[in-house]
Amino acid sequence: MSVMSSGLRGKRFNRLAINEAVAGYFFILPTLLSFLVFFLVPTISGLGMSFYEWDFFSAPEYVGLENFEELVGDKLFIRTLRNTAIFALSATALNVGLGMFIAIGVNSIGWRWLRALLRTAYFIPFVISTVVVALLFGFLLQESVGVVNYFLTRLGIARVPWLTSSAWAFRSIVMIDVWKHVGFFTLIFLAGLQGIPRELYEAAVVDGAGRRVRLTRITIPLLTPSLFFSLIIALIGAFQVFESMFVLTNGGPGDATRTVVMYLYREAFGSFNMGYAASMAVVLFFIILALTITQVRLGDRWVFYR
Amino acid sequence: MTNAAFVYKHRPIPTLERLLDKLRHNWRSYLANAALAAPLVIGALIMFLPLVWAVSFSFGQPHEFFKLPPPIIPSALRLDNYEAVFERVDFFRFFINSVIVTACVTIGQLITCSMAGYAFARLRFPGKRIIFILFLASMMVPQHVTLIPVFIIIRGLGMYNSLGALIFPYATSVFGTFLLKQFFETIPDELEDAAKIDGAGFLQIYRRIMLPLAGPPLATLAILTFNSSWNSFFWPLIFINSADKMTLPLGMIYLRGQDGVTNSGVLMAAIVLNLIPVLIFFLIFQRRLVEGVTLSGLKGI
Repeated sequence: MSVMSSGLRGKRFNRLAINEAVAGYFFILPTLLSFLVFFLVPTISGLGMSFYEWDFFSAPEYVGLENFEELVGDKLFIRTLRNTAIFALSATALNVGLGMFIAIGVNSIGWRWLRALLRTAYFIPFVISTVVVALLFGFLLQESVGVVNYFLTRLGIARVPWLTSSAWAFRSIVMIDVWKHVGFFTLIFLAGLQGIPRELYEAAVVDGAGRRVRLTRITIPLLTPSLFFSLIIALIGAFQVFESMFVLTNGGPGDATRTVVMYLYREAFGSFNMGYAASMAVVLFFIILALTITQVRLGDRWVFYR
Repeated sequence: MTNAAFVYKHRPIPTLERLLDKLRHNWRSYLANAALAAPLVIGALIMFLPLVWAVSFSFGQPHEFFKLPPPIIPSALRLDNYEAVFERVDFFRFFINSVIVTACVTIGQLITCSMAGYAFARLRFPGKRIIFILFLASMMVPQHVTLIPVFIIIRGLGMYNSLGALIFPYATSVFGTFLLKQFFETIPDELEDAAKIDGAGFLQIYRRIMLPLAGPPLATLAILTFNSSWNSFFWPLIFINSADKMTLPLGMIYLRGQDGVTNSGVLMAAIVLNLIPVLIFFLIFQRRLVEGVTLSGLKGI
C-alpha cells in the first residue's frame, strides 16, 4: 500500500500487517455484519426454502423440486410472468427511448436557462414516491368523473376506461411508470451527451456533415454506453415492479395487472405458502440474471467504447 | 469554453452589412431553437399538469368535487380537506416516523459506507477481494429472494412492527461502499504517509484525513439515500402493522382505506402534504441529486 510498510521486513512488518488487517476488519464490520445477517444468510435460506413446503407455523417439509414443478403448471404464475415481462419490455423501451429522445432534444436547445428548466421539469416526478404517484393518477384517471376523461370528452373523444378495462389498466400503469421514470433516464443520457467532445462535431461540420449525419454518426454511437447502462438497470427494476399495481389496481381487473412480485407477496403473506413464494423469487432471480448476462454479452457487439 | 486562442483572435469591425447578417442569423437560430423547444416544453407541461391538479383539487369542497370542468385555479382557498386529513389519521405521526427512519438510515449509511469504503480502498487485509466481489454480486440479486428470511430474522430480533425494522437492515449499503471506495482511491498516498509518520493510527487517518475530504461523495450518497428511504414502501408494508409506526407512503394507503377518502379531496390534500417536503428537498439539493444520479449512471452501477 504505502511506501513505508512495503519497505519494512521481518517481525515489525508482520506486526504492522496484522494491525492493518485488524483495522480493515474493524472498518468493514458494520457493513459486513449487515451483509451477512440481511443478505447472505437470507439469500441462501431463501434459495433453500424453495425446496420446502412451509406454512410458517408447522415444521417445514422437504419436497425437492415440487414447488418448481407446480410453478410450471400454475396458470396464474405464467400469467403474472407474462404480465411482468410485457410490462418490463414496454416500460423499458418507452423510458429509455423517450429518455434518449428528450435528452438529445434538450441538449440541442441553444438557451441554457431553458435546458436547465426542462431537465428539472422532467426529473421532478422521480423524487415523488411511487405510492403518491399511483394515488394521484388513480384520482385523475377515474372513468366517469376523472379529469383526464373530462378533457377527452371535451375534445370529442369517448371516455377511456383507464383503470377498469384490462387492456387499458395495463397501458395506464406503463404510462404512469414512464411519467415517473423518464426524467431519470433523460439525466443519464444528458450526462452521456456532456461527455461527447465538441471537437468531433466541429470536425464533422468542417467535413460538411449535416444535422442528421452528426446525429447518427456521432451522437448515437457515442451514447451507446449510456444506452447500455440504461437498458440494464431499467430491465432489472421493471422485473421487480410491484408498488404501482399494488396501489392502483391491486392486480385487477381480473389478473390483468398482477405481477410476479404481487403474486409472490400474496402467497407469502396472504396464504402463507412460504416455500412456494420462495420458489417464485428464485425463478425471478434467474430470469433477471439471465437477462443481464445476455445483455452484457450482446453489449460487446453494439456498445461503442472510446 | 476556455480556449485561449479565441481571446486573441482578431475581431472584425462591424459594418452595417455584417450587423444585419448577424441579426438575421440570430433570428434564424432563435426560430430553430423555439421550434425545437416547443414539443419539449409541451411535454414538460404535461408532466407538470397532474401536480397542478392535485393542488387545485385539494382546495375544493366535497360537494363541488364532481363539478366539471375541473378548475385549474381553485375557486376558493378552503382548507377543509387539509383539516380532514389530520382528523382522519395521525398524519403528523407518519411524518415524524418518516423523518426518524430516513435520518437514521442516511446517517447510518454515511458512517458505515465511509468506513467500509476506506477499508476497501486503503487497507490490506486477507479476504478483501472476495468480500468485495460478494458485495458487488449482491447488487444483482432481487430483494424478494431475501423477503421471507429477512421477515423471519426481523421477527426473531424482536423488531417486527418497530421503526428499527426499517432502519437496521438499511443502515449499510453496498452501493454507498462502492461509491466511497472509488473516491478514497483517488486520494494521494502522500497525505496518508505524512499522517503515519506523525504517528496517526488508522482511526485517526479515517477521521482526520479521509472524512474531511469526502464531502462531495458523502453528500451525493446522503441525497440518494434520503430519497429512496423517504419513498420506501415495500418493506414498511411487510414489517409494520400498526398505524402509529407507519411512515408516510404506508400511511397514505392507510388513509385511503378510511371511509369516504378514496379518490376525494382529502386524499389530494394528503398528496399535496406529501409533495411539499419532497419538492423543497428537491429544490434545495437539485444539483447534488442530479450529480448523484449522473455519477451512479456513469460509474455503471
